[in-house]
Amino acid sequence: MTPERWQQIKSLLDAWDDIAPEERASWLDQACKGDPELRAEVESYLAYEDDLEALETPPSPEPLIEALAPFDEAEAGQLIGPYRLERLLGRGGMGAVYLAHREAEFEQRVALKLVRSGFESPDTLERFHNERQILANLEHPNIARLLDGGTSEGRSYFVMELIDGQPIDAYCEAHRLTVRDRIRLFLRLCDALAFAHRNLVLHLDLKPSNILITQDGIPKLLDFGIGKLLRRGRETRQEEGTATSRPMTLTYASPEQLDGAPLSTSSDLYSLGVLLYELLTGRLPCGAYAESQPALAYAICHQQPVKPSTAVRRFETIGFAENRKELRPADVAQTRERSPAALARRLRGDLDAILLRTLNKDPDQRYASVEQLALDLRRYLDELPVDARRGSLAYRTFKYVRRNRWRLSVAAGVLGLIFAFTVALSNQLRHTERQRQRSARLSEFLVDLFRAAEPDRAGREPSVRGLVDIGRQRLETELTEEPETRALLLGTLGKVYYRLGHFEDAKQTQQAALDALQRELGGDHIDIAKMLNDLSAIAFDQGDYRQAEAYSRQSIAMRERLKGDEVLTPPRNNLAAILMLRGKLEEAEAIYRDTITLRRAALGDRHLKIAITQRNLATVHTLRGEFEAAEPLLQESLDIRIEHLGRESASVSKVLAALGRVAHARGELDVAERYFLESLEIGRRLLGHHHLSVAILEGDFARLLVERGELSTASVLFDRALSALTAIKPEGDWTRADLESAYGGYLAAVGRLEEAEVCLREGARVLEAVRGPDVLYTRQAKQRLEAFELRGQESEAGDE
Amino acid sequence: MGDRKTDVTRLLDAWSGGDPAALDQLVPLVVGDLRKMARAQLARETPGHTLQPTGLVNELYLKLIGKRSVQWQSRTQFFATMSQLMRRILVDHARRRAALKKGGDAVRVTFDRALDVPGGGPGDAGIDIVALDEALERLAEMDPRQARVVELRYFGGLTLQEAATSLDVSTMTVKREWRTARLWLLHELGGGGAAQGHDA
Repeated sequence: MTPERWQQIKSLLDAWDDIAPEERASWLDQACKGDPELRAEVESYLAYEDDLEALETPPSPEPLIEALAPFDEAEAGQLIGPYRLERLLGRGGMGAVYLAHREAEFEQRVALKLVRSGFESPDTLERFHNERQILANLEHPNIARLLDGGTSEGRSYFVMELIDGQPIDAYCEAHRLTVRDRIRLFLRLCDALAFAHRNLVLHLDLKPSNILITQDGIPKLLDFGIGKLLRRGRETRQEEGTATSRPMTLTYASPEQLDGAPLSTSSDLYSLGVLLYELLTGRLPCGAYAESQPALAYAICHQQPVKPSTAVRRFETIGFAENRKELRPADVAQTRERSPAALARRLRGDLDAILLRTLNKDPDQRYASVEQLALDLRRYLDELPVDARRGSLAYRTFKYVRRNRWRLSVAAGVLGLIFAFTVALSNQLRHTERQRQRSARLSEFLVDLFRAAEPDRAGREPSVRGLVDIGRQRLETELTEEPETRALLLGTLGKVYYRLGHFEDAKQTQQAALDALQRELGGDHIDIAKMLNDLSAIAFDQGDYRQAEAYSRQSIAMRERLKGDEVLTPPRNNLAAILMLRGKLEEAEAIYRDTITLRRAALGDRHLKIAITQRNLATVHTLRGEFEAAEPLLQESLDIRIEHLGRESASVSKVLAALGRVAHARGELDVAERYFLESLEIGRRLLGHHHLSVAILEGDFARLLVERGELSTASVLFDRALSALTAIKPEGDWTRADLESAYGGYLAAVGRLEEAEVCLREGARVLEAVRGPDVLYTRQAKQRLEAFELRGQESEAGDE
Repeated sequence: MGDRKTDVTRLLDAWSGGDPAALDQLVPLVVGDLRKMARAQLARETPGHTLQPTGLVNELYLKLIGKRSVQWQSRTQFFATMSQLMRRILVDHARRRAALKKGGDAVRVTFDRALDVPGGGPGDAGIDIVALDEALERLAEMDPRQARVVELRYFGGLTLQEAATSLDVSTMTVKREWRTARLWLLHELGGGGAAQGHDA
């Protein structure tokens, strides 16, 4: 065929795709008029339209494996050392396992493991020899014994006790074991592993296929293949190089295994946790949304496991690539308990706590040993209180951030807040002797508080959250002789919770403070007005805008009654933010403009408070799509913030994000990306990975990546943002809806059309209901939905 | 080993500095890495994970480029070059195997469920890599860019957008080229191709 002829045919094939199905035949007649051969040719190509999928599937992995890591299979009847092979039992990455017997001793059957040829790096051989030595020393009824080993024609092999059994997960399903029975079986496994650990052996490759249950129901632990002799008191270090250079099963690997961090018994403990999670919930703790190996690795290191009791009620898509399938709660529950609800009830509380503790990213926060895990599970079976639920509040928040800088930074902010409060109060109180005593009592309380959290007493560094928790607890019984001070201090702690992003705690604490203060002061008071304003901010961030507006109006009304004009700005700004959400942009804009003028007059041009209002005003413009107006405001706001705070501050990070959004909306993707990246870097460092602003930012960045076609990275970011936002915001919240809609755009881009449609519709619906039809977010969500629907119609037409 | 490492670094530097030819020189040097990674992936035995060209190239990219700052276009260029490499590896292997088969002494290894490596989807089974390669050569003679689209999509696993960036055309163009290229290839591999016979 000539290139010209092909171009001619090609253009007809292209055009065909664009023509309505019912018109195609006549169109083709027309197009090929006078050239019947052309028509026949075009049709001969069109005949393959239904087979287009065939080339959509990537080439099978088999030839690639063969090409890159060939495997010469041994044959039945072949002699390996003194062993005669009978048949292949199974094949793994490192080699194959055969049923074999010693020459002339037919009755004793064994499992013989032969190293994959082309795989014999010195590393592998060393590992094999390791395994031989280790296993020879391990005699336990639940550990498969090593019998022999050697080299035959340059290939290493070793010989193990033949276990006729079923992998533990399949066994549990086949026998429909209840949750309690699964735990009992699992406990026997714990015992075997604890025994190995006592003998200084790590397994490091625990997974269902390495744990067989015999017909008599006895678990046998196989394949201490990569276990290393553990010298007492010392951790095993991974050898030089990346973590991927050592064999492990990603699904069950611990975060430190992936990180290449030092390994200890705690890594096995983690893998056991994954296994138990899987046995109880039918899914993996971190793999919920992972679509690929890198995504799973990322999730293992960074994503919080979903509570087992929550997980079992979810529909989920699990597995990789072609193996992805829908997991239904009813199917999972069926082999375990009566119903999904019953299964969730069974898991809620104790088992949630035990599993989450075992699966903590930080080895130091897990159980100290497999024995401890077993002990807690036995407590659960005996209906005794479990250890895992003690002090869980403090861990849950701080498991990631212990080594992070943000602790220092936020801690400094918190101390500043408390300090400022103390100074303000003692200034107020300075005048009389009685008041001096009050002030002294207050500092005593604070000093005591910090002492309680000193590192050497708790055995670890204090956490801000822990400190505030302790403070709140102590305020329940202390300072009762100073109810007003107590109430104000409680309010301060509420603010700290708020700054840390713990909105529910913030709300409760602030509410308690308000009640106490109202009891004490009655009527109108500036402190009450301030507290109402704080409560409004909390309600706002929790997505309860009705409540936020109510608090805000109460606060403003009270201040107006008190006639304190100079303090009117912050609450009015709050109200403006709420108005903005309600789509009343004009009113909000007026308040912000007014505020800027007032503040300029009172504070000068470069005050930090002006920077804050500038950003808010910029948001009004952004929501209207007036990016030209928004950008310079943001830029100035950024400059002022940097002047006051330096670049490393959460407040700078927020403005950078806003600039990124504006740049993105204008289609300047490179500029937007730079803003997003810098903002994310600062935000993550200072606020941690689960903060609301960071989650929102990740969502924004993900949208940009979708436009760029970097879909896998986008998917990871979406997962993170969605799981963080879902934890913080209630259903029906507009930020959630906005993210969901954007996620829908991603799903559409990767062809997951049904899910995409749900997200797009639901997102647009909530946004329209909550934020009104005219704001930017709603418009964008609707545009996404329309584009999707349009595409759907087109492809429907194309399918005909 | 040390030399290889410097070579790789030097070539990567040259490439990220704007010399596209450096990437081609890099190709023979990374085959060893691919072998290692393939083995490591096998050793990991991730259930259900497919050891596919895309996965390997991604891993290679992370390994070589990971921490460098590389332009989005360069990234795509990397994937495009590696898709050629994948094609070569797969085709060479298939040819060797075919040659061995003629000799009659080769044991064809089939991977079964034990390894839990899923075979291709329903369509995959029917694709003969050698025939596809030859058909692709013929396509390249008529329409080089279109052949390139196939290479990027099928052997490199690039998305439509990525392929578009790599070829500096619109996504819509890639989409169309990909569709008609597949029609052409299927036609060649089916009735049309069989008539010509294999000359290998």
